[in-house]
Amino acid sequence: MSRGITDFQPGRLIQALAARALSQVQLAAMVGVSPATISKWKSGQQAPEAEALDSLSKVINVSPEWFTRPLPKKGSLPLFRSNASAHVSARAMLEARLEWTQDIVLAMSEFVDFPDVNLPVRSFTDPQQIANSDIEEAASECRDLWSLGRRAIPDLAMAVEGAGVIVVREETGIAPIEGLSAWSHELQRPLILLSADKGNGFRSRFDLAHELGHLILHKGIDRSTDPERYKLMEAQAHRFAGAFLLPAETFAADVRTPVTLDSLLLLKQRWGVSVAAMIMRLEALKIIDADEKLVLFKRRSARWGAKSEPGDDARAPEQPRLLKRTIELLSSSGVMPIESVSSYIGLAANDVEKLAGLPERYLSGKASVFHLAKLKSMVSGDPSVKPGNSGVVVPFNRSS
Amino acid sequence: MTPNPEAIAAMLITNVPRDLVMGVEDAFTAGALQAFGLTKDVRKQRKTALGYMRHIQMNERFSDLLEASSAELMSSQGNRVIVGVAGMFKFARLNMNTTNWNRPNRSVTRRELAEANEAMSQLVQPSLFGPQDVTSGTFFFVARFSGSLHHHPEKPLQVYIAVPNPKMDGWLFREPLSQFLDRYEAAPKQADNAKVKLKAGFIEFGGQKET
Repeated sequence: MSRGITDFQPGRLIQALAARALSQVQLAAMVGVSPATISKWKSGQQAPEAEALDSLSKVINVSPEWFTRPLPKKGSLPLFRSNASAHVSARAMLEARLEWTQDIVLAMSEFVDFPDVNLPVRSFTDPQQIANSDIEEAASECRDLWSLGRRAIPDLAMAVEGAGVIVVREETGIAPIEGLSAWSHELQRPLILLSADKGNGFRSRFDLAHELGHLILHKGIDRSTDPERYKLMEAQAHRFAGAFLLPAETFAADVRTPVTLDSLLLLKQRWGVSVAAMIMRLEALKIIDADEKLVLFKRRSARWGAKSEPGDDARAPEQPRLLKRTIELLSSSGVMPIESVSSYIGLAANDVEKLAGLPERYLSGKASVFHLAKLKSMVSGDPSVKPGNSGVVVPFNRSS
Repeated sequence: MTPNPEAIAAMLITNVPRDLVMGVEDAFTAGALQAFGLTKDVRKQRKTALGYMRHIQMNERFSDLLEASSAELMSSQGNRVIVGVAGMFKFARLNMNTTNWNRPNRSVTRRELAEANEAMSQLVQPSLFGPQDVTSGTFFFVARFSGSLHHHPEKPLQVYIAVPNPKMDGWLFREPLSQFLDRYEAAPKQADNAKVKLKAGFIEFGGQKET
């Protein structure tokens, strides 16, 4: 009887099932084993044989060796934006994608230093402890820490990544969940995953600021399934996003009263925040009352419908750049050839490309992108070319 | 020295608190509205009465503001010009009609105040002589009205912050307050810190760790 491979990590199989949103039965059918066998692999009672592992890795689209990599320590349980309609398996899938992002960062950390984490530190242990004034203060402190002044933030994703937060923006296929965030114990830094499904630059900015609010305000708060508590934490993250993107002292000065939807439409482009989010902020600042808010939302729905607003296309969604730059740096400096990146991480090239925001087929070297930086490094860094052997330009001498 | 009116704006931002500038907007609006209400029933000399009353009501509000901000240098007394102080600047207020920005130099006090802008004028018009350090200056908060009883008589069309030349016959710098206020919280160009560095020990281009 053949024996299963040693060092098989059941946790990796659980992660892979979640990331690919596959059930045990589906995976069993694809690998060609019984569901009971998958169950035994998952529980660690049994490990797959080399042949089965090969088949398993092909189905999951990872390297076989990846199944033997120990799982890093679990981070804080992620907070999901929009919980109500989110299916359990969808959440597990996104959580696994976040863990894969952590794997990428861990692998890259061998070679590079990521920006230092630079976020306001709060030590609340219960959402009930957090007052609105605490949220406004945290948002102001964050702007001060990042030297953003009090006007509109030109590129929020750049600012967040510059503060050491890992941001991923990818199409998840699960539009109701707009984002999630967690603190990684292993990396000692936070991670944010944003859904790119809606393709709306204004919403995406607000989603990012919302997740930032969770990371700052709720870092030390235990996750709970209590809906009231969850609702409160969501409201707090919303308030933070509003306060961070639309600071009271400058935003209030920009708003004309009585407030109309059209005046807010002008401000939408200036501040990079949707009209709906501005209405909420105006109420939070007590510039309008609940009745005025209701009237504005009614007019908004009557004029524009519930899903979109005019001018939504005017701002392209901000793209994260940190992981992309990391891979480009490793390649251009000759530390790691571009083709080796995915095998080093152990994940499929297209997964790494998606999570790092790289163009399709970039890692397989088939992308229609010229890697100029690499070209230069290859020329100047070729060890076979010794300084003494370098060419000399010989002038044409006019024969006398 | 390169002529640079922006340098004057930067000096104003450094010396004049944002809250004071916003307070002037409020004081002028409230004073003008009150003057309008008080002269509504004047039948024959309404325009003149409105002008006088604006002067008085806006002076009162302006004086209150300076007192509240501890920025009052010369308080309101008789017909004299109320002068405030903010950092190295002295300032006063002016009302103008329509776009006709003339005769603000009738007042001796204003002319004397403007003389302090000799050094600052070199920021805009270089002098034949060497540059001087700017250690003092004067500016005005100027409320511009339409000059008509039919077109927004109840409020200024625009309020400006304006730095006169030393002779008080031109402006070295002039900007509406709504625009000027944007200068306060303007973020410096956003820094791109989303960068990674190779760990020490990795030789660039070689890709091997130094031993």
